[in-house]
Amino acid sequence: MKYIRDYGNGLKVPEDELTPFERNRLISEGKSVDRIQCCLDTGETMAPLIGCGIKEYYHSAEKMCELEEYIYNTFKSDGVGLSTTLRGMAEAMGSEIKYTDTNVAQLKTPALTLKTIDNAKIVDVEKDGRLPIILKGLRMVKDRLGDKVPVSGTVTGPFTVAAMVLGTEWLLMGMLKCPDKIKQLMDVIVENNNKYIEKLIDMEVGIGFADPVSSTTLISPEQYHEFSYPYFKKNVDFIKAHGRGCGLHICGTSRGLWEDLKTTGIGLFGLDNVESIKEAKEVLGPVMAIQGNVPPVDIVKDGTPMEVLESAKKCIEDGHDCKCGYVLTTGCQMPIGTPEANMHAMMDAARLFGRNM
Amino acid sequence: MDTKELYEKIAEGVVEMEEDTVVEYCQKALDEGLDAADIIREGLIKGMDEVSRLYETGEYFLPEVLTASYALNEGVNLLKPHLKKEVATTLVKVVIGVVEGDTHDIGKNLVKIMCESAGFEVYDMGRDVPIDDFIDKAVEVDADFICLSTLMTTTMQGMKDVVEHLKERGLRDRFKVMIGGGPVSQKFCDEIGADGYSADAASCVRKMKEMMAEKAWNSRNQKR
Repeated sequence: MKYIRDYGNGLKVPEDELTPFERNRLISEGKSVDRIQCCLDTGETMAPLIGCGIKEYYHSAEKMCELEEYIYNTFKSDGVGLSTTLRGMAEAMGSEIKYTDTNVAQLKTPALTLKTIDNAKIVDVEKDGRLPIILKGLRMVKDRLGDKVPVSGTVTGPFTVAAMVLGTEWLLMGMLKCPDKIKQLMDVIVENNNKYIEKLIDMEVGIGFADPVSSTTLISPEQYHEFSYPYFKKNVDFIKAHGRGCGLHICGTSRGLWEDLKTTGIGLFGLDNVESIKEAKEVLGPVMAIQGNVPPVDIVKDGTPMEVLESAKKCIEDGHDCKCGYVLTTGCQMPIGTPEANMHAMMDAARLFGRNM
Repeated sequence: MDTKELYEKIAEGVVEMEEDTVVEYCQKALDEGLDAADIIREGLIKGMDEVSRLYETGEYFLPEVLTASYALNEGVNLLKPHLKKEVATTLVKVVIGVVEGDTHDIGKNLVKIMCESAGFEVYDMGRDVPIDDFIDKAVEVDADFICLSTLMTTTMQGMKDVVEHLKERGLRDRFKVMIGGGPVSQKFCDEIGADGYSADAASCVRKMKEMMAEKAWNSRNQKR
C-alpha cells in the first residue's frame, strides 16, 4: 500500500514500451509483453470529455471518431471502438428512442407489442436508424487508429435487442405468455445482427457483444438457455464461420450462465463487479479470456485515483494468471462524470501492477 | 364452493400467473356477496405473498413475478369499483417512484408490488418524477416512507436532492428515505444520508417492516 500512497507524489509509473497493437499481436502469439492489457470501457458516456453533448455524439460519426482519438491519445487504452449502443439495433427496427445531451439514451416507445411481433422487420444496416452513422464512424476510427490499437465494434446481444424492441417488461412476460412468438422475434433479430456483423467482418475490426438483459438479475438460467443462448450462439457461429472470434459482456449477475457460456464459442468474457474474477478464472478461464471488473460507480466514478489503483491491483492479482488471458477493465461502462484522473489511474494500475506477467 | 376455497383459487391463480382464472374467481367471489377488500386481502395478496416467497428462494425470477402481478392487477381492476369507501387506518404509507431523468421502472414496480402485498398503502408516482413532487406527495398523504429508484448513474444525484430538499424544508425527520437500483449501493446511501438501501425488492420490504417496528417501539417508549 506504500506504493499506492505515493501515486501522484513521486511514484514513478513505468512507460509503455509497446503500442497496444503490438502488445495485442505479441499476446496472441503467446509471447511476453511489457504489461497486461487494460481497456477503458467508454462510449457515449465520455462525450463530455471532448465538449460534446451526448445527443450530438449519438448522431455524428465525426464526434464518435474524435472521442476515440482523444481517449486513445490521452490514456493509451488497449482498445478503441464503437458500439451500436444498447438501443441502436432496436431503433433501426422501429423503436423510438429519447435522446438528451446530458444523459444516456432511453427507450421511449417500443417498436412492437406482443401482438404485433409478426411485423418485426429486417433492417437495412446502411439506412436504418443510426446504424449507418455508427458504421461510418467505425470506418473513420479504423483509418485513423487501426495501425496503433485494436479497433472493435460492439453489437447488442439478441435478447437485449428484443427487450428494446418490445420493452423489457413485455419481453419478460412474453416468454411465459407467448414463447413461440418471442422465439419468432429472436430469429429476426439474429438475422439483423448478422447483417451488421457482416459489415464488421468486412471492416476487419474486432467484435464484442453487450447483453445486459440476459443477466440472472432478470431471468433464470433456464430462461437464458431457452430464449437467449440459442440465438446468441447463432450470431457467434456466424462470426466463427468467417474465421473470426468475439467477446461478451453481461452486466449484473451471470454466474448461473457460465456453464452455457463455455459452449457458446466466445473467446472473452467481461464480468460485472458483482461477480468474482477468481471464480470466473476457475470456471471460464480454461476456455476463454477474462476481463474485469473494477466497480464503475463506487470506485471509478466516485472514488479517488488511490481507490482505483487499490481495486485494480486486486483485480490484477486475481486475474493475471487466467489460462486464456486477462484484461483489466471496469465491471461495466464508465459512467458520465468519471474523472480523467481515475481513468489515468486505471491505465497506470496495469503499468504498475501488471508488469512481466 | 365455500369462501375459503374461493380465496384459495384466487391465490392459486396469482401464483400460477393465470389472469383468466384470477378474474373468473374474483367475479365468483363478488357474486357470492363477498367483500371486495376481503377478496383482495385473502385471495390476491395471499397469492402475491407466495410469489414473493418463491422469488426470494430463487424459484421464481422477474418474468414470473411480473406476470403474476399482471394477473393480480387484472383482479384488482375488477374489484376496485366494489371497494367500500376507505376507512381511516394506521396503515404504513409509501410514496414511490423513479427519479427525474430516468424511465426504467421495473425495479420500482417490483418494490411497489411487494409493498402492497405486505399490506402497505402505496402511492405510485410513476417514472421520471421531479424531486419536489415526491416530497409534496409524502406531505399530502402523511407518508412513512419515500422510496426512490433509478437504474442510471446520471440520475442518482436526484436521490441526494430529495434528502437535501427534505432538510431545507425542515421535513427530514418526518419520512424515511429508501433507495435502490442498479448503480446504487450502501456506500452511496451512507454518503447522501438516506435511511435505507436494499439490493432487491424483498429485502427492501423486510427493511421497511423493521424500521416500522422500531418506530412503533420508540413512540411507545416516548409515551411512557
